[in-house]
Amino acid sequence: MNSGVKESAVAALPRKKSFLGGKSAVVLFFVAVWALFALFERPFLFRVNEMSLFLYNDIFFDGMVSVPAGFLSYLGAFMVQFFYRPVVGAALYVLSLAVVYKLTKRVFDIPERLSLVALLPVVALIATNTELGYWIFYLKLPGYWYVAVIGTIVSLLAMWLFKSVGNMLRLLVVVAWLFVGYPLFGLYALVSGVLMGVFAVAEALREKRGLPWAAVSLLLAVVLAYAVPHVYYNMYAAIATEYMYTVGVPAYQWVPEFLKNAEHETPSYWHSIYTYWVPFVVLLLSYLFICLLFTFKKERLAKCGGRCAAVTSALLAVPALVFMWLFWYSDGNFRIENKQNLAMWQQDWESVAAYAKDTEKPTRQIVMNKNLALMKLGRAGQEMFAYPDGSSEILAPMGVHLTQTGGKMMYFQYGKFNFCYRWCVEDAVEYGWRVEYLKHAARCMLLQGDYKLASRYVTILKSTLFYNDWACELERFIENPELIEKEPEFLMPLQMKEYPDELAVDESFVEVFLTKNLMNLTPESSPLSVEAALITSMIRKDVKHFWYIFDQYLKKCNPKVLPRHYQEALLLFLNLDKGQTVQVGSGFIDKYISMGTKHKFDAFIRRTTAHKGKTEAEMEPFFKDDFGDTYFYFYFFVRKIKTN
Amino acid sequence: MKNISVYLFALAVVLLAACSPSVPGEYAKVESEPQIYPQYAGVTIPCNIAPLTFRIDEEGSDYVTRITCSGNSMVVGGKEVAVPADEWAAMLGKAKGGTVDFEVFVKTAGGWKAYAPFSFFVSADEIDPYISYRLIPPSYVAYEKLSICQRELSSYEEDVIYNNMLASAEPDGQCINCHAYKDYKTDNMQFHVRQYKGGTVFVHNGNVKKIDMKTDSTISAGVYPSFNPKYDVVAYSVNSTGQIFHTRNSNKVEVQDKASDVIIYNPAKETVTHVANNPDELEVFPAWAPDGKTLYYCSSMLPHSDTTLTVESEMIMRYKEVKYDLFRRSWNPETGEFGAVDTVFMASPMGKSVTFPRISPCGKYVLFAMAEYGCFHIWHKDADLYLMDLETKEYWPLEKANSEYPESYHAWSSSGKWILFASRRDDSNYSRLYIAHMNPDGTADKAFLLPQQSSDFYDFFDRSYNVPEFMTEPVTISPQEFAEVIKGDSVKVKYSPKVNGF
Repeated sequence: MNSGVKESAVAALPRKKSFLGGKSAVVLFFVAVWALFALFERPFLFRVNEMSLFLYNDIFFDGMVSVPAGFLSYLGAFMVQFFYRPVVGAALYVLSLAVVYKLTKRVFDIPERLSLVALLPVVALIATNTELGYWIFYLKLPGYWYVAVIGTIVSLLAMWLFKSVGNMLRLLVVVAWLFVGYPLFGLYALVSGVLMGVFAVAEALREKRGLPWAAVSLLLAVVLAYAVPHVYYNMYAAIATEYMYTVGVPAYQWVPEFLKNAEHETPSYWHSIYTYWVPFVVLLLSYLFICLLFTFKKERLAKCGGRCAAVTSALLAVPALVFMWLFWYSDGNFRIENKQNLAMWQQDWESVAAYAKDTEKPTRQIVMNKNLALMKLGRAGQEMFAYPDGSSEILAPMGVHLTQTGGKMMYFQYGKFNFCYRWCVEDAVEYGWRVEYLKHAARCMLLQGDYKLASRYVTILKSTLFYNDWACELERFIENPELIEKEPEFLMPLQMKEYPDELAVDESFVEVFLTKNLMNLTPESSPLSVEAALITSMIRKDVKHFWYIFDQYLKKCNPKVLPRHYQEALLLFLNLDKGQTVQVGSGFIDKYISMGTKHKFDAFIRRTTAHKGKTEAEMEPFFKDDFGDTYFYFYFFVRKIKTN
Repeated sequence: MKNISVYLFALAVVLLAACSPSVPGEYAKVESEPQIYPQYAGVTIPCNIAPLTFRIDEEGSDYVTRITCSGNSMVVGGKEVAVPADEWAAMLGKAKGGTVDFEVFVKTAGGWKAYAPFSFFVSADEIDPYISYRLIPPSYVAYEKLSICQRELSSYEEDVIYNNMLASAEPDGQCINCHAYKDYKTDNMQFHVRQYKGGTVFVHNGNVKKIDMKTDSTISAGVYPSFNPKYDVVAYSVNSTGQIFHTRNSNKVEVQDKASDVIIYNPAKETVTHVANNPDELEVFPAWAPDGKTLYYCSSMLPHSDTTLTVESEMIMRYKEVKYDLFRRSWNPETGEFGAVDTVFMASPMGKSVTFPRISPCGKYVLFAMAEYGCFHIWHKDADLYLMDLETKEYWPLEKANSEYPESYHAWSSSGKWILFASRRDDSNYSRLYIAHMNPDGTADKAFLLPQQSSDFYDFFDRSYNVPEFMTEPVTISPQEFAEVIKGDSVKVKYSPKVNGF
């Protein structure tokens, strides 16, 4: 040990009671973090798990470690799977953060009363995940959620080892760590290798001895951090020179070029790609700061009194908490989408619809989920326009398409199995196979009747820790196809799948494709397909198609009482048409349109007349309260819908 | 101390003996063969192939397999039947022209069962030592992490020839495809790189260069290649290709050309010349005869009759009417002149479409894939392999090699005794490589799946194998060397109206 005598002296100093920096504050911090995740982010964490995959076999391992830092991703993916049970997963995550905290304290000899300083990197690590938002659908780094945490833990362990040995051995540690660490942990090994050198120099300067050795350590670390990736470049056949220094972070995605086609209507720091780098920079700077501060000022900080500790802790805690708050992506629509997603997999369609009321300005995903849920519940014609509607902008820097978020579920439920499957495969190419893709692929191929292919995905899911039961349940259908039609979950997709094959492309726009496609009815179309077509013609405000489909609807569905919104559309379109293309008798109107709807429509017309001359935007507030739940309102005031 | 060692040794021997699998003394006979994966029962294998590891897909608590070859037996325990490489090689060495026989015993609650034995037939015909293929997810338009790999057939050793991630950069991706070799050797070979840093990576007499083969006179850069095995020219198709997706059909996707021609590339003079470019036809899939003096290719009449539609729209609407026939033209290597078009096989009148002609090394047969329509049969479930005798023009399906799933991307071994092809039969979606022995009468024996170390490999491997090719030697240029060439500038070829003589 270089400074064993002085360390003993420090250890002999009387322990002082700390303010804010004590164990209780730290414990409180970790409990609070766990509670935030467990209470508010459960659907998000579940989605994080479904956007990942960990398989218990050699082929999966071999595939992961075929790139530098692949082992880090492998470990990360292993840990991410526990978010299947979000409360447990959050606890494990917080425990891993606690390990980072303890190691940081231990490695850099941070005194107890200043222990809040060791939370700085922890806060940065949390922010690397809480900032993600829609990136969970687009990140190409497997196990991302845990990659930085595990990378930091192993780096700290390496630092600890480095500190624990003498000068000669330190050189060996640097060499061994960079050569062994780089292929396993990528950038984290390179950075921590250099940090070892920085620490050695700082320590030598403080001790005023051993500077040549320390300088050699630093020089060696810098040279190797530069050279080692080049050495490994020739050993791996799947890494470009541009990215060999940044393996372990999504450097190839978080570049401005990646976002060149994205457009944003409203400014937000979430739209800047540089935002997403900030926690990583803070993580690096915090360790540099801790390393230099607690090496240079070791004795002085050890003697730091209560007031000193309180001030220091407060100065760090306040900005740290503000930082955490700023980098906690808390877009309400994103949360609702994740809640709806979880509810959909749980077949809880009431909740899917109910969540859509939690926002005034929903995204198209929320609206589509709600419409689907109401279709499933048989209440679409009665309720669908009584919910908030629109097309709120996605709060993300990149162009977010439904194909990557909730489009696959839409395609599945509306019987477009080939298109759902296609996007599972396309996204598996881009982002690697994930649980959600596998589940969709297995279900689509099951209902498509391709049992061999369904079986393949079931086999893969059976190799996971948490989806074995789900896979076995699906396997039951593969082995007994006669059970498929009896399964309530498959009822709607099976009823929607009767349409003629055609060649088509969706250009990544699920809603546009679906709404166009759903209106193509055939004699074989099921009553549910006809109703979906009717709804679609109303959403698209396509009067021409409406009349044909409405006729089909009356024939196929033979409704005793026409659902409210269909009455509204019928009355509105009849009035707009003024008998030019469609003529109906009063008996028809009396049969299908209730007095309540007629009165509502009359009131709507009167209100329109009263505000004649105003623009739509000026009129809208006068209509929302009384007519916001009608198709009339949707037709006239829900405009400029931009689907993604 | 000495006694302890003796006792320990004796104990070890006893334990080893206890652990060694042995054929059960009593068992009930089952008339059927056991379910195994891969389905290797009855296949014909070359005497220099890697061990064919398989698993027994029968319910049981214990498994024993007795393997008999030339009067010698070995017993393997466990669900997975894996023979060590050296023992396997020795076994096949003795079994040339004979069989390796397998007896499977499965322990169930009711006692041991002995299934009907099955065999591998071991051909004395050796197979080329290497193959190469592209590994690609069975995707549609997305591509990432593509690799062209080579595999030593006598072992499980696989190396990357090139991986597109070596020179890819976000947001620009890079597709790689169409690797090809001259006469099974690797000092003259090529593959294409599309989009980012695109071009044709061409190894000419051992020297690597990147070529920009697009000219103002041709539709595109070279696509499907065929090295002339004797002369220094390469035939390519040039294609304007698109993809479109089935909303219901289980074939899922159609890959269509809205235009295509055939050209010849002269690597010494860096020129390209048209061979077939009728504007009303879609000429594609050139393939040289082994003597280098005849060029085969497929062609379809363009179904463009509605002038209110674009060619692309009409191709989509009438995609089932696009059917390819097989033609050939003689070539004089001294003058560079091509002869008249000779019809080899009119598949379209029979409602069929023929693709990927491959001439056998002896020149007697052409092997092709045929299905109802289109040019991209690896996505067509009805696609099967057929062989045609070029003298009699008789053709027949390779029944033992085909399946109810697509077969395509076929290649002859240098000896003409083996064929290698891709099939989606395992799970209907991922194409896997199958090898079949060809008999002198033009029939194929039952094909076997390219062996892997673990029988589970294909269950979890998420790449398709396509464009498999035999090679008599490995590619020795490293992936990184290829990457450096790809990052560099391209050699621009010129259009020449006439192929120069040799």
